[in-house]
Amino acid sequence: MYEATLKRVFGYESFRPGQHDIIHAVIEGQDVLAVMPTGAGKSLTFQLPSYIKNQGLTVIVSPLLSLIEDQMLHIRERGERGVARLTSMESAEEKQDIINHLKRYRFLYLSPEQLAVPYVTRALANVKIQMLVIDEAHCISQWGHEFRPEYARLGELRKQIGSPQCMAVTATAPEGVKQDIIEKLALFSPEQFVHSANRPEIRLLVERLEKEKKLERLKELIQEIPKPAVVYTATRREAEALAFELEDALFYHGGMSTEDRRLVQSQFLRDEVSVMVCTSAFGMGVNKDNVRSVVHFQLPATVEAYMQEIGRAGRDGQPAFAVLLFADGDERIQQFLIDGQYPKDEDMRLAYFERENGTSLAQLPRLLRMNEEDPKFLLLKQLLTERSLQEALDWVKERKRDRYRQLGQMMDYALIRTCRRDYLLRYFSEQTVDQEECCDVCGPIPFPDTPQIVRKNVTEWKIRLTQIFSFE
Amino acid sequence: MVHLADGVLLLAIKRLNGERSERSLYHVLNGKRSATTLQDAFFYDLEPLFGQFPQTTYSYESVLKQLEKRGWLDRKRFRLTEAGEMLASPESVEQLFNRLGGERRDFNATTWKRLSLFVQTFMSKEHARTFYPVQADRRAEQWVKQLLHLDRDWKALMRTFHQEIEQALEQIGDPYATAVVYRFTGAFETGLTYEQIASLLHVDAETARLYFLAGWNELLMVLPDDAKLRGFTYGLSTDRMTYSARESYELFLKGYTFQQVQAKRRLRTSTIEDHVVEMAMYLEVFPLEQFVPMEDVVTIEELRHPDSWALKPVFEKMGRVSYFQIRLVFARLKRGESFV
Repeated sequence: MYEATLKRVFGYESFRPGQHDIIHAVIEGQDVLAVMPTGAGKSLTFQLPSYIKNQGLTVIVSPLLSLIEDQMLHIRERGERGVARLTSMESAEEKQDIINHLKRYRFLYLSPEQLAVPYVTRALANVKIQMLVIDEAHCISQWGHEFRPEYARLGELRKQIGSPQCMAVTATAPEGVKQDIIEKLALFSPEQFVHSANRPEIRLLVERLEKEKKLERLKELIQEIPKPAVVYTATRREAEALAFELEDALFYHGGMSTEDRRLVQSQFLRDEVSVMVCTSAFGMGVNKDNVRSVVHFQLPATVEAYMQEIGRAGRDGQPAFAVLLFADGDERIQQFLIDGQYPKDEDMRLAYFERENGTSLAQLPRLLRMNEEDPKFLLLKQLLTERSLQEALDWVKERKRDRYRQLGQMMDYALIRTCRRDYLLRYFSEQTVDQEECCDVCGPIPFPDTPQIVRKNVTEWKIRLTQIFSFE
Repeated sequence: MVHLADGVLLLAIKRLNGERSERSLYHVLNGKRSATTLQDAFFYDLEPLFGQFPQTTYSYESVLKQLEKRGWLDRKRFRLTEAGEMLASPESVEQLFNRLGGERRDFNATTWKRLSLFVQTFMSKEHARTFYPVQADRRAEQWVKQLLHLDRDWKALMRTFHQEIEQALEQIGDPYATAVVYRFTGAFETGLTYEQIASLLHVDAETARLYFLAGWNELLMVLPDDAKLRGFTYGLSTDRMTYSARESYELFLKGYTFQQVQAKRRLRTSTIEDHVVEMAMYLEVFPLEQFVPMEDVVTIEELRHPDSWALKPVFEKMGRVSYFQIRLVFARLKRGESFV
């Protein structure tokens, strides 16, 4: 039904499974909640309706700059000029220019913070908005693994811009998170589309070993597994250290300069380097179809995070491998990271005490020795306005307990002696499936023969320069 | 392992001579354009480093901790230990230090962003390859976009650019040439990160970064004036004077007095004083006697300890001159003038 537009605008012959139904619901004007695994083509489901209805601006809220950048790049690549973004990267003049000419655009990408800026909200209230899209919608839920305080206001902001039709998209959402999204965004009897979280092409493996043996095993493993491969670690420092130890590997994390980050991404996308060692900062929005293996050197904090991270493998539908290296005690790093995301009890007591005695919010960061941009402080600020001290203490305690519980569920995945796929699917309230080459519990998983990494020879700089400037 | 890059930082501390604080160096490294920092960079020969080590307070702190832990730095006095002095003294350290190009402010970095993005964009289009821009700088993006709209024989120009870069780098030689060339991204080759360049050159990543900065700075220096590549510096300036100081300077040039400039610009006395200090630091010719009586100039010069640019000792001995006046005299002395 919408194939003509699909062909004309996107150049594709047919829809991928599930896309058509979502697009149909959007065009009918329904609120939509779509849970689709990464790589299933969810951006097309909110872009295509814009070309069919042509009824104003599609506003897309997205949490990460890299995600926004990536999507804009793809839109521009196919020749669409009517796309703009409002993020921390634009200057005040650029923002003003975009705001003044909203009618020029078909798609507007922005971060939740920018949507909350009063003059932006006002400007959007005065134009025709066809649809508001909330990408990575699970960030709105405190039950989700990536709660972002700045997402909490989205429901209210939606009202302020005239309650346009709304579509919430996410890759992973267990039942509780789904309910939270619907409630917080005030979706009106939304059509729900939930794709199976199962990725049959990904074989699941866990190796339990002693902590001291992990690095050595990783080095071997990298030789054995098919590449390109992504290795996930928990900290920046570890990412750097591992990349140094492995052949033909680069590290990627949020602490690098923009130029270096882009060089690394570009090399990986073009298969110029075969192993990427990274923290969870890598991946969101990176469209690389042929990742063959994802190795976790550290336990992720939740099953959802794990699913999302291994989901970067095998997007081309070809066999791929997800290997988790687990040593007893590995969970402590995550516990430490979880604790670091919440204000300490004594800091909360101090903050409430100071507020009661007239200290301004602006003075608090210095008193608490926190950075005012620190998510921990932003959370504390929100607690201060919404809850009493006791409620806040309880809330944090409750949240931490919950995060520990989620970490426990991730550990169970590593420890169980039954089918790992079955465990993951049950986690997402899905039916078990039977498949060949499933997981290391169901049967042995052989790695296909992989060619050994050959170190490229260093070329003399003059030759390299000639290659770069070559028209041949 | 001791790396060249460590030596460069140590040399910076050595040049500060125990007369300035840890924060002072931090601001110089980050390129803060405040009067104090500009003066620190000028007097203590830190101009090449200005803004070339952007870092957070946190990373700066850990760098200093490292230097102290390895026994090279006495943090209390902010001076080098004997071991630290040794590491800061090789000629190779000084050579690299002096070539970093911070005295040209944003000129080098902006030119690089423009050229590297242009090369990537043009070559990718030529080969019909989609690409992921290496630069995320909006202004550079806009600039390159406008450039591509111009009707030129770009292919022929690209060949010229290639030759010009090659000739310049031949003069400069390795390791600088390798560090610069491998940062470029073409249609098929992605530029290397500093870690990768480091492993080509058998140094650490920070040293590789400094080789790139130095190589790129040198390239722009040795490039002939009529080189086509100079087009990428269009509209950019290597002027060290801040924009605001220049505005004041232009009023002075029109014959306005200090008070008139101040009234016209509605700025505080101290701000205009800072502008005048910038003029004294950066201008070839400066009318010192208009601000300090000649006899005081002479006394200040005589009272200054030859190894020191500390203002306080002179101020305390003189009594009747202001810090502002001492700064002005010092600035001219630093430029090699003498009044005795």
